Amino acid sequence: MTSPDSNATAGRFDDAVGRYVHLPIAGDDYRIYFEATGCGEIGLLLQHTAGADSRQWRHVLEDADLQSKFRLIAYDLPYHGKSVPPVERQWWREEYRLTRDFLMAVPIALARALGFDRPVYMGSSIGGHLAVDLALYHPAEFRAVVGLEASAYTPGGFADEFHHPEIGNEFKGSLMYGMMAPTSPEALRRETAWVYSQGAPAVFKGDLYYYSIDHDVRNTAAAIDTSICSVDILNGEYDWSGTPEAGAELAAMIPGARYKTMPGLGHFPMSEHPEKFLAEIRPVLERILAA
Amino acid sequence: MLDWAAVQARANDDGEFRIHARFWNATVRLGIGHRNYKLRIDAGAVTSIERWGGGLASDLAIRAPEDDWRALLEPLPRPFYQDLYPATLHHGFEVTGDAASYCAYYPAIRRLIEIMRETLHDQS
Repeated sequence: MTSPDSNATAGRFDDAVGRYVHLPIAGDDYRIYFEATGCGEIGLLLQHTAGADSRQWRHVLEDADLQSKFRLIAYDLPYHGKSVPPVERQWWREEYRLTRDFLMAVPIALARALGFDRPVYMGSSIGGHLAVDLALYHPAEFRAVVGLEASAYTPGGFADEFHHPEIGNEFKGSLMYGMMAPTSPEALRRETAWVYSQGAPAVFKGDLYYYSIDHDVRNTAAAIDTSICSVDILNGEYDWSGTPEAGAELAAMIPGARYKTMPGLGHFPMSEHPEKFLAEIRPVLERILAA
Repeated sequence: MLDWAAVQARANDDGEFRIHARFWNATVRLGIGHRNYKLRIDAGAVTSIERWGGGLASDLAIRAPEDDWRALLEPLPRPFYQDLYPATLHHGFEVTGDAASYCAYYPAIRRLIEIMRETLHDQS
């Protein structure tokens, strides 16, 4: 039986359109999946968290206001979502580890392939850490970076329990469920956890190699020049990994960086409560556009 | 503090808990301040919850001061009391036992704590 609600949405298309692009990174060809919306002149690259994929950005991609101002691109990192491992490489013979240099190369190569002129970059968790690394090592590539759930250094995450034959992917999904604000809509918290439970078993731990070991800007963040690439850091009140305290400390290390705690949000602001997140991020993006 | 009979009945009637607890056989010790409780789980069902006065080993032990438990079981917990894992990182909770089993059954443990929270809230 069809409900009135399902009739109302029958045949309605979302705005996001998916495509694949081949990017040469570190000597291999990577077939990268991305979804795009918007007609603005400035690109806005959207990076997902560790062990997840671009579905986390599906609500933000549909925002009409942002679409009018940006060309929004949400992409799956290699080995994540629809970006399958490279064909030429015997990746199954080696432990998967995401390194800083490899991770930085992805949005840079993607922005160039899309013909963007110094786009804005925004990412959460590993994506938040990456915002800071991009501003530090590749400031000329981006006009601004926005780091969500970012910290200068987050040790302890590269742990065996995240890739263990006796522990299923349900653990990761359940753990991530507890990283969100209890006031975020349950259906969206469940969806966020569901996405986590679908990652290839080795990927979450491998991503945390970057998150917990390869990313460390404690002694280098002060060298970031925000007159070239502006830096905004926003961390959720309930994020027990990228805590508000850690985000504020990170921003204080970077001359000219701005920090804000997002009340009532956790580690996945864009997917756990898009409405609340958009209210937080709109003024940040408006300020970047006006600069 | 808690109506443990209600917790047991609720857990065994809870679809989410039963899915995540499948194949689980364990003795879990809950330390709430100076009081200890023994939860016996057989084939994914809570078969008993009782006061535990002895010092026998358990498969898993979760303990914290009473104030921490109270904060964990608030209807709207303060930051980092929203789940057991962050409550061990940022607050007074301690978990001991087999790490692989703890992680494998973390979804069931998380749901059990939610059931405790819901039961306590309904009691009041």
